[in-house]
Amino acid sequence: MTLDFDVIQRSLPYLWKGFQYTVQLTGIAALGGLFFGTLLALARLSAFKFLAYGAAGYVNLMRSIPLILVIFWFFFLAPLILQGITGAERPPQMGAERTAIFTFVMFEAAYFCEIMRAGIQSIPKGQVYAAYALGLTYA
Amino acid sequence: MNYHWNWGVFFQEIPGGGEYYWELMVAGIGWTLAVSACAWVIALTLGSVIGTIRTTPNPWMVRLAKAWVEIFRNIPLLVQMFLWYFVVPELIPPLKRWVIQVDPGTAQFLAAIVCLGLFTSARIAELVRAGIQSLPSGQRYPGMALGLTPLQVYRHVLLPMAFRIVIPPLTSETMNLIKNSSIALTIGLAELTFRAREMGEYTFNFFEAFTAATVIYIVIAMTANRVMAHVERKTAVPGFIAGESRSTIA
Repeated sequence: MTLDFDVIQRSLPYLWKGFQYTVQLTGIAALGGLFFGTLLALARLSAFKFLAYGAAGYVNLMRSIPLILVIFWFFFLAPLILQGITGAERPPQMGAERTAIFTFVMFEAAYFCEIMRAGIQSIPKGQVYAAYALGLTYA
Repeated sequence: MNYHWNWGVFFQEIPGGGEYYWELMVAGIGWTLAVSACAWVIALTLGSVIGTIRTTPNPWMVRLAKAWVEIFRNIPLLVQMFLWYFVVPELIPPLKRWVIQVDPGTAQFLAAIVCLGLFTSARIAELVRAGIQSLPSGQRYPGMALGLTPLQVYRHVLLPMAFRIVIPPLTSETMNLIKNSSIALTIGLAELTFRAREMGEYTFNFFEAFTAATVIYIVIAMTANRVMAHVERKTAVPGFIAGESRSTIA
């Protein structure tokens, strides 16, 4: 067998495009996941039971199924939801790239939620009470 | 949402197959469980060895183990799957000859368990290392002072405690492994996600198929979770935090 490493150089622009998309997707997923994950964590620790249970259910669901299955789900489900919202005749097409970004943000949010929750819960209760004593609100 | 659910689709016959769609899904579950179980055994065995090596005093062994962990952790699982299935047989002629004549399912299965096993072994190695290093040095040195050989210190003093400590993260790693086995669909292994997609493409009942797959994954993951929790309770050492909190809660 002969290895042809020249092929790497020839397809470099092509690989570069893929690399750009990888970085873009990672960046958006990390930022979006962090944002929604923090909201989810706040919901999970909330005193409102339905918020807490809803967030916990979402996180546990996301954490127990494979990413690839989630991608398939959103790829087929998202157009139908959009159709339901907009009332269009036919399901609007999301396209693979937008589905990927949407899925990664939603999927990572579940994992970031657990990270943020662990972080918040590791803070001693005294800090919370002290903050309340200063007159700060929950949010 | 105006989607027409049709749960009866699972009891429809596959065109030309004489089988039913639910049988397709059950076959998928079988592959998922088989891949996960085999890969788990490989991962736990190699992971324990590599993780233990990383805590030994021999610098070269430590470096090798570290390289192992970094290689398998830093390459995406999907890329590793392609490497094991498409590239490795090309590099080893006898292996390639064997792969060509053997049933494709067998080759896919082997590539999948090797890939998942090694990938997860790197992660388990990190867990085991962290577990051993979290033990106070007051456990290692008295063992040596009693005249135990290094092997005996690990076998009778360090590893029994380290493994108990790492059971909770090991549980999540096991669940990750089960979920990661779905990546094997990219090399054509007919596991659960593959079957769900196939069924969706045949019948256009994607949501029924995906719902079934989702529920099955949840059941498998929860079962693994419960089993590990049981192991954790059974092996808990009285007097330690892990053992105490369990007994006071349960």
